[in-house]
Amino acid sequence: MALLSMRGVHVVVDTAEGPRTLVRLSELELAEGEMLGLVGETGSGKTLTGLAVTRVFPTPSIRLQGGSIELGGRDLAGLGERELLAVRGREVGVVFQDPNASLNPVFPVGRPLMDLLGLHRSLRGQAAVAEAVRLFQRVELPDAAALLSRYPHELSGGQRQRVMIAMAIAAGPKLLVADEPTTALDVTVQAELLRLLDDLRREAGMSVLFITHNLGVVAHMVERVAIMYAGDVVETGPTRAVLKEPRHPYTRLLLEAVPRQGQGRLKAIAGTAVPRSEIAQGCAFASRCPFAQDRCRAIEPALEGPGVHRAACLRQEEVLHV
Amino acid sequence: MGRTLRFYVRRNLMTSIGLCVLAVFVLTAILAPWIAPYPGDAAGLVHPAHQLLPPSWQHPMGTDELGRDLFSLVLLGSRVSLGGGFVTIVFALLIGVTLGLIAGYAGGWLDEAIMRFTDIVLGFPSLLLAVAIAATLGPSLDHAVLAMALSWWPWYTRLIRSQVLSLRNADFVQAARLSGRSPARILVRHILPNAVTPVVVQASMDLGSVILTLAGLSFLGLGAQPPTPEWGLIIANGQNYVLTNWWYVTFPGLAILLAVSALNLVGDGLNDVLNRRERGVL
Repeated sequence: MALLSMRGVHVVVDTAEGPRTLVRLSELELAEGEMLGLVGETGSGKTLTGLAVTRVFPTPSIRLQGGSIELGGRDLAGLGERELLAVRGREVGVVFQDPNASLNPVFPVGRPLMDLLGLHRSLRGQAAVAEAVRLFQRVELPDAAALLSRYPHELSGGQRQRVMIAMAIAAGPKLLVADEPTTALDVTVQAELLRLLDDLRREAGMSVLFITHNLGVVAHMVERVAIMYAGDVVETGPTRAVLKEPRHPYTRLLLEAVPRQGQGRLKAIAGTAVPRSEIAQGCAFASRCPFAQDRCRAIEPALEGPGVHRAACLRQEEVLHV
Repeated sequence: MGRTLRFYVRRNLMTSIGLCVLAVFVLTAILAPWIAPYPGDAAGLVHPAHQLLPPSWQHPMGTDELGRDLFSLVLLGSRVSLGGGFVTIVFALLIGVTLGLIAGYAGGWLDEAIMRFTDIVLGFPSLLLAVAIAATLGPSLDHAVLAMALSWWPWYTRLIRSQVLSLRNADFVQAARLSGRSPARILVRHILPNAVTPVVVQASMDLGSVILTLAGLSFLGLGAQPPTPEWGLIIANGQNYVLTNWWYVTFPGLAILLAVSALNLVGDGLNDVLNRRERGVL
């Protein structure tokens, strides 16, 4: 039984020329207790896909146009703003990329956490302090009690991200959306935080939507991966299968672009990503794809394939056997 | 922050002087009924035998044409003038900050509507509004305060709105939204504390101008009415005696000058401290 099931999710931005599509997700599913890696380039819509679950977008001009987002059997897309307040933070926790900007600089770091405990778990006063200390200890922050009254600028980037994780899991959410949680941090800190996230997931049976552009992280961290391009999932399946035997040309080129030791020139994917809104018909990747044929530019491929490893490519068998 | 503030004030002479003078004014305003030698004079007592006496030990600032002690009037008048200015600024802040927060955060048509209304009020001469209110509701200090507050708030709306616009999409605001906070609470708890600094500085500097304008309105007969001991009103009464009895307008005038100057010095100092802190210099 899937905990999260997103179908036909359509996110648009309102411009002077009318709404433009940013994300048009055919389907994305996340099982209970599973960690799914959502991989894509900047601008592929992976962050917006994560944010669409709680419908908090960076600007008011970006909005959810349609589709269904079922969390534990309930369609969040049909909920009003007021009902969503009870979902945010309580059923879905979110961790951002940049921990330096995500804590309010005028408050000690413990304050928003205790605030959250009051809001979602009705803990106040000493009970809230005790629980905040426990959460800080759980995310392995040193000297948790003293840290509660420190200001964000007194903490390191890694510590701040741990605070953000503590806040995201404070209400015991069923789903954690982790949007490139380690990208802004040192490599050494990255590994620790990733292990912590994985521990927390196991411990609480929480599902994690892990958004990243780093295939190396994905290879080590997640069992299942979904590759995004131009606002839609182009390939999904068990991590090993997708990375070892990519069925979509985009995944293949992405893997070839990962820097390797002893490699001469770095490889890049020719051309630039075309926004979803500018593709009238056919496959979104056709303009950059070395496998593209006329039919690719005419027919929009659906996610298909043998078993759980599926790709949205008409020529996936050929891609696989090149 | 308390320690850095003290440190800065010690280094900055002008701010310290302003603060001291202001402290004296605030103290005398609070204690006026007890330290004024003739508190009854402000309540309407007249002493025809003592009219227009020059400054002496009995009457440090002399007396007026009704024999009232000017020192007592100026002391008690500081309550009216400082208090009136303070209340005006508080009302203007309440209106201005609220509208600015809403305009900046809501955006869209609501923002447009609030800001165009703000422009209209800004374009409306405040003196005309004061005259209109005095004409319809009758002249009094309360109505002058009302008129001032109603014409002063747009500056705060604009300031707050611009701050909110730059904070609205900050990650920590997004984080607060993602943790299930209502918009009202996000505005008050997360955006306001980060947006309030320039408004506090502006308000502290405005206080001087507002006190001056209120005194001006009273001088014109649109503000405080006799026998209220208001500085502008005392000067208005004394204008016939400028050439013959110099002390009558000089001392209330000096009180206005000192109070407004002190407020400006403090406002400047506050600006330095808070902006330096923002730039990370201190």
